Formats: sequence, C-alpha cells, structure tokens
Amino acid sequence: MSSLKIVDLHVQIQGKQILKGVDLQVNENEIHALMGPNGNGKSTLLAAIMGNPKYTVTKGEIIFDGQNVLEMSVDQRARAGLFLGMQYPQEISGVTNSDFLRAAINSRLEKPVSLFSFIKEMEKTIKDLEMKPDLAHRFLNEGFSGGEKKRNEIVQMKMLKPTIAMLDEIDSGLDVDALKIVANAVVDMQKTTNLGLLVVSHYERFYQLLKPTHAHVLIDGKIVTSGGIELVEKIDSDGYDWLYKQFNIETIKKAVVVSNTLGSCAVSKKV
Amino acid sequence: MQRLKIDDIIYNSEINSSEDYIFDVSDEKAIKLNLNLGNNVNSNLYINLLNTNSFEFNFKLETNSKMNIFMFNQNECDTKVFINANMDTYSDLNLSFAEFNDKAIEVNCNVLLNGEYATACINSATLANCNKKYTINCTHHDKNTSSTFNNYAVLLESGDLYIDATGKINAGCSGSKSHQTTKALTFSQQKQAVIFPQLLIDENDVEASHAMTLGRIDDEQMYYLQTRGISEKMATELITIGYLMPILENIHDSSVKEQYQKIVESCVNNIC
Ligand SMILES: Nc1ncnc2c1ncn2[C@@H]1O[C@H](COP(=O)(O)OP(=O)(O)OP(=O)(O)O)[C@@H](O)[C@H]1O
Ligand SMILES: [Mg+2]
Repeated sequence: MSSLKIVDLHVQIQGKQILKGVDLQVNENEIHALMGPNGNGKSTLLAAIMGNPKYTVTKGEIIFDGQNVLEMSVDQRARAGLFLGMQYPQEISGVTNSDFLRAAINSRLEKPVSLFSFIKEMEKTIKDLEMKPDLAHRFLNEGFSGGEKKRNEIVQMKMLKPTIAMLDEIDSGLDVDALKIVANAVVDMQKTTNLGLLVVSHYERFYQLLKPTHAHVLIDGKIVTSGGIELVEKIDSDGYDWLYKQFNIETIKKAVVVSNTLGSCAVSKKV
Repeated sequence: MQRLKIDDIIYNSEINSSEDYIFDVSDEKAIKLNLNLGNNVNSNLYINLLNTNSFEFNFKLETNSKMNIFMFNQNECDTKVFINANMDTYSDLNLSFAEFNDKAIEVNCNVLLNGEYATACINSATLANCNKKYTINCTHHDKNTSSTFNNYAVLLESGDLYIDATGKINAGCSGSKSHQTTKALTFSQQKQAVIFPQLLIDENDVEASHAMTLGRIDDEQMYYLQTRGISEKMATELITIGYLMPILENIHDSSVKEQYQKIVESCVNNIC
C-alpha cells in the first residue's frame, strides 16, 4: 500500500520558521482535507514535500513508500509518484503543453510513449475537463485564464497518474460549473487508481464534492486538530476562532496577523 | 533543388534563374564564395558549414531579386565567417544564422542597402556553450530602405556570447526603417550575454526601434517542470528548443526543415 508519511516536519523560508512540527500520514485511497487560515503554512507543507528549493527542511522526515523523500530531487519525487497541483501554476513560453506533457510522461518510461496513443489520451483528458481542444498546442499556461490554469493542473495529474497527489487551492478561480468538472475528474481518478489525496482548500463546497476521509487544520505551522468531514463543516460555519480559543493560541494568531496582511480575512467571517 | 559541395578555395557563382540550392561548405581550408543573384531572380539558399575554419561569402542582389539564405553551422572546428552583401533597388534579403553546435564562431556580417527600397532581415538563433561572437552591420545608403534584426540566444554554463548589431541610416536616406529585437536567456548563474544593439541615425525622417530582453531562467519555472518529473537537463532542453527552434520558420522547404529540426534536437540534447 502506498503511503506518504510526514514526521515532526520543521521548515524554514529565508530563515523564517514556518512549519514547527507537522505529523501527517496520507495513504492511498484516502482523501485528506487540509485547512487553516491564510499564511499559516499549508502551501509551505506541500512545497516542502515536493522539494521546492526555496524551502529548507530543518528537522523531521518525509517517507514515501519506504523511501526517504528528503534525499530525492524534485523530479525524482515526481517520478516516484508524487504530484503537486499548484496554487499558482507557472507560465512557460515557447514550450507547448503537449511537448511538455510528453516529456514528463517519457521521463517515467523506458521506451517513449507512442505519439498516437499520447495524442489520443491527451485529447480525451482535455475533453473530460471540458477545455478548449487547442489547449494541447498552446504554450504551457501562457495566457491561460486563472480557471484554465487550474484545470490544466488536473489534466497533468490525470495524464501523469501519481499515487499520491497534493492539490493546493485547485478550486480557487474556478466557476461553479468548472468546480464540478474538476471535482468529478478528481473523484473519478481517485476511484479508478486508488489515488491518495492531500487537498488544500478554503471552501466546504469543494470538499463536499470530494468527500474527504480525513480533515486537518494547520495553524501557525502545526496541525492543531484533525477529524473527518464534520471538521470541514464546523469550520465552514464557525470559522477558526473556536480553535484559537480551544488551543489557547490567541497570541500566535496576533503574531500571524501582524506578519501577514491577509491575517484579517484569515480569521474568517466570525470576526 | 540543387546540392553543391563547396570545397574550392574560391568559388564563383551566378544565379540567373529562380532555383534553390544547398551548399555544403566543407574541407578544412579557408573558403571564399562569390555569388551574384540576377535581376528579378528569387532563390533559397541553404548553407551548411560542415568543416571549414574560415568562410568568406560575398554576394550581390541585383534589382528586384529576392534571396532567403539559411546558414546552419554544423562545423566540427572553430570557424570565422565573413559576409558582405550588396543590395540593389527593390532587392530583398532574409538571412538567418542557426548556431547549435559546440564550436566557437566569429561572424562579421556587413550588409549594404545601396538601392532604394532594398530590404534586409537578419535573424539569428544561438545556443552558446563556448565562444560565439557576432558583429552585424546593416548600412542604409539610399531612401526607403529597411533593415530588421531578430537575434535570439540561449547561454549555457560555459558559454560566452557577444552580439554587436548596428543599424546605420546615412543622411539623406529618408523613409528608411531599422528595427531590432534581441532576446537572450541564460541558464548560467555567473554569465550574461553581452549584447550591443545600436542605431546610428543621420536622418530625421526615419523609423527606428530596438527591444531587448536579457534574463536568467526563472527558478520557479524550472521547479514547475521538475515537479512533473522532468529533469533539469530535460527542462533546459525543452526551454531552449522553445526559444530557438522558431528560427527554422525561415526555411520554406519542408524536407530541409525536417532534417534541420532533427539536427537541432540532437545538438541541443548533446550540449544542454
Ligand atoms: N520568501 C518568503 N520570505 C518570508 N516569508 C515567506 C516567504 N514566502 C512565504 N512566506 C511566509 O510563509 C508563511 C506561510 O505561507 P504559506 O504560503 O505556506 O501559507 P498558506 O497557509 O498556504 O496560506 P494561503 O491560505 O493564503 O494560501 C506566510 O506567512 C508567508 O508570508
Ligand atoms: Mg497557500
């Protein structure tokens, strides 16, 4: 059984400690919802798992299927079966979506994929996500709308067939219909491939479509509480205030607000 | 299409009918090619630099002639290239340099727009992992002449790239235009391309511009490609091909284009 295990993970960026001891295990076939106010380290956790060189792991372990992920390069992690759908996908001019995806698929194979079967699969995937057919021939994400970029992340996920996928606010920027299309595509893939998912979102609506098996809240670099879908619902209705009170993290909340201008909306609607 | 092997020390040629040629310039000695394109003739010329340490190419475009030259450096040795072009009234030149090999080159190119309405477009795509040096001058000697430069380059760790591109419009050449676009991308942490786009203008009634983009590859872009399983080498190749391959759009023969595309891909694969 595939599993991604994170133990006591501490991560810094530019000398600033963001993650302060995260423990989490995601197995195949599980869907984990990761929530938390803005600026508390959700993207940092996903980036550290993927190996973004901007982030420094100062303590802890990441183990994927028995392998020490921290010793692997970013591309090795991807080829091992990890995937990160990004909050802000990059635009790469001059490289077409199809050339890029074919290179990514071939990097996992002994013998390159046949052009015919590649094109067929790409066309089908693009159609499943109800995107424009010219997408394959356009430069990677260049000039894509916010929603198109997010859908394109899912196109990539479907074509690359990871065993554990992390999705960072993949639902933001999607219209109501696109949200359903993306959620259906994710659920569909999850069911057919036993994919394990770690999904960051601020919206209950998306989680209701995904039906997570687990939910966690990350505040100030730590997972402060975990549960099931009822935790997502509670946060949707009550915000994060009760957590600050319950876990006595008032002072830390203030610190976060000061260091991050998004802090005021981070505390959500109950303020 | 005619294919000619140019291995004499001096080779003189007249093209008087609209035909296309492939010139394979080989042999280890210095080679000089003199060529005249007759009135109203329209020709495509593909020049493969295969094994020459010095190549001098002098040509004249007569009135209303049109020549598309694609010079592809596949040399196995370091080389020097001298190009002198004289252009008559209404002649039209499209001159492209493709540089994907791992051998040093020094190019000196002088284009003289001598007759009214002569038009020159000079394009280059350079992958530099050694010394590559270009000095390109386009001088406007008559009214309503036009010159365009499109120089694209990718610089790798051991590359040194120098481009001096000058559009010079003499006094009295009213209605002339000179435009330059330069783009260089570097994968090296230390190195930067050295590029001087220059406009020397002695006339008021002209149009001139230059746009230059010099930049280092974005770490986030490399990271993004790597998160999909693509190695750093492969990512460099993909981006390089995306940046430089469009030079092949200057080739109008599909079989030549296809053949060159394969060579470019294998060069990029070797060098990156
Ligand atoms: N280059 C940097 N230098 C200093 N601090 C940084 C840098 N990059 C990110 N941070 C900080 O790291 C903290 C965690 O950011 P992260 O992106 O992980 O938050 P998040 O939980 O994903 O928030 P959101 O919900 O807004 O996406 C934030 O306070 C952010 O400002
Ligand atoms: Mg985030």
